[in-house]
Amino acid sequence: MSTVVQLNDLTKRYIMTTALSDVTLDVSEGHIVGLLGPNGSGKTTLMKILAALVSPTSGSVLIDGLVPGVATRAIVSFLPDVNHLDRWMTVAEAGDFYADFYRDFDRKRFQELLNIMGLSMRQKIGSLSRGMVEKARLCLVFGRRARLYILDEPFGGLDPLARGQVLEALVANFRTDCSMILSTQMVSDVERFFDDVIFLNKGCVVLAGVAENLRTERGTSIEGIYREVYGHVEAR
Amino acid sequence: MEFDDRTPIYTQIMDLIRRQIASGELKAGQQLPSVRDLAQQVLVNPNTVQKAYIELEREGYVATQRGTGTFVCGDAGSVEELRRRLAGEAVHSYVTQMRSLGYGGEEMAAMVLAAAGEEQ
Amino acid sequence: MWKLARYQLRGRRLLYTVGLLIMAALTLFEATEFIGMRQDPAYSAPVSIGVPATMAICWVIFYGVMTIINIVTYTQDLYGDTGYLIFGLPLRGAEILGSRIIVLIIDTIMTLLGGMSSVILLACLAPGLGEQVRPVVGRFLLTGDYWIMCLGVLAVIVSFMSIMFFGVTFGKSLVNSRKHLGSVFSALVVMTVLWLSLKAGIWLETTFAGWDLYLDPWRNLPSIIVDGKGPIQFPFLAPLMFVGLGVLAFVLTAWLMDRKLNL
Repeated sequence: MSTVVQLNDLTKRYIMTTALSDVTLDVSEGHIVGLLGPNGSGKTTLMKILAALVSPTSGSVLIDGLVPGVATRAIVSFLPDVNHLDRWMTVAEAGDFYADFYRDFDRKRFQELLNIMGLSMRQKIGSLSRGMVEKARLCLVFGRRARLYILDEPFGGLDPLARGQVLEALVANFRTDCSMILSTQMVSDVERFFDDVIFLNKGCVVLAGVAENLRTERGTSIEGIYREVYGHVEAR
Repeated sequence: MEFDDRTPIYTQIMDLIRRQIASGELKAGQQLPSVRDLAQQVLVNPNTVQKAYIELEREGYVATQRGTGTFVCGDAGSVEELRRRLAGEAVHSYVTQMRSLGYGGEEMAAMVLAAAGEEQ
Repeated sequence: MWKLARYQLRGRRLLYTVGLLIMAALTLFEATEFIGMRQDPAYSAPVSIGVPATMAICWVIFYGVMTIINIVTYTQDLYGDTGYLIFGLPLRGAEILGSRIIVLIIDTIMTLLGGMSSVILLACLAPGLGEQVRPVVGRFLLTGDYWIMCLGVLAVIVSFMSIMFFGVTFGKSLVNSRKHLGSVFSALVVMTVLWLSLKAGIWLETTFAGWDLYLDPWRNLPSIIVDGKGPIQFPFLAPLMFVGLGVLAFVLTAWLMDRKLNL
């Protein structure tokens, strides 16, 4: 099994703050990784670095052996935590946009995903509700046959029913030749989908491991571990 | 399908399939759903289902044939053995719980008989 | 790069429609000045020359608005949420910048064509104006000096845009997550660069004062526009240096986008 993401001593500093410090981790092919932590723990920064939208201060980042840049953007499908689509576009135009710029975009798959989510091509992004925009964005991101999917809070604006639909689509479309990193606040809803989990706090990895092993070792759910880890940190 | 997230998911899937084999829901020689189908059905990570299948194969309940799928192994004898084992586990946990409430053996038996009679 | 430019144009289709409709309405409004003048060409001449001048100013405003919107939408991409879409594309920084410059050039062509058609339309309505415009169209527009001047002006505008893009991008990649600080900073960078280029331009002009480094395209104009002030000269050195700065800004911005992006 090959490694899709390799991070070595990754550090990101801004003028006043350190967003990530000495993060070292690997993501194996075919794995779904949960990136967990409270707000401001560095999850989004880490994801943006992997999406080649933020440049690291020091350390090395390799995606499929490549340094983040134009080449990795072509194989990484990123879902930001905010609406990144232009409001004037229709769903169909957003699909055209992706098809024009990403060679791995599969229009047929995009259409199937839209059907599952109950969206139509003619709707305008600006006229959709928050949950619907979220779904449309997920359809675009999963419409690509990417090597690495990076999803920042993919369930943020979704009601429980839609969350179920998205999870179903996620399982149906997951392939063994790709990897996925997703961050979420809804640990209990999604923890069954994680192969590995990474707990971040203040830019450092505080705990990382195979989800099933962690459940055995600690005798509790990932959400329980989350409470333990951050409850402890906050108490200190 | 409801899982308990506090214990590994793959052991729960293994339990589920073992139970289905013991009850006859899955018969010897019958094909199990594909990893992806089962994962979608119970909404878990496909790798977790894969791991459950591998463990079940290691324990000899199922066998994977390359390219075709995973099938239930064994004959009537081994299924009966599995059924007895699961029943034994259920009885054991029942007895332990009842003992902690202070019930004796005869009382337990009487209550079991009464409950089984009610259900019929 | 072309594909991205196409998308940007598509995003501005409403803006273009509204803008061009306003310009058409203005042209027609100006044309009302000529009502009743058709009979007397001699009388209409002095009045009519003011009308295309007003039109030209309107077109310059149209162009200015389009250029400002170009810079503003780039800034919005960089500081806002749509940046994840644009800067996340597998395109080099130079291609993203290039698409912006393509849009600028298309705006320029649109303005020139629009301006010409306004003047031609007005000339058709007013015979006196027609007489004045004809020699300009016939002789002046065909001189090489004129076209070099046009290209020069375009190069200066593109350079100005590049410097603006540089300021905005530099501000963003240096100070992240503090949006206001970033935009204030980028404004400072742009102003500093423009001030420096002005100073350097003046210095160059004075240093090479004895050399004949001017174009004078207006030599071929009929006297009514030049109006006794002598031939207007078009300087060569300062714009050339400004264009050099623009190229430098373009290269640096592309590098920043490829290597130092902080969205």
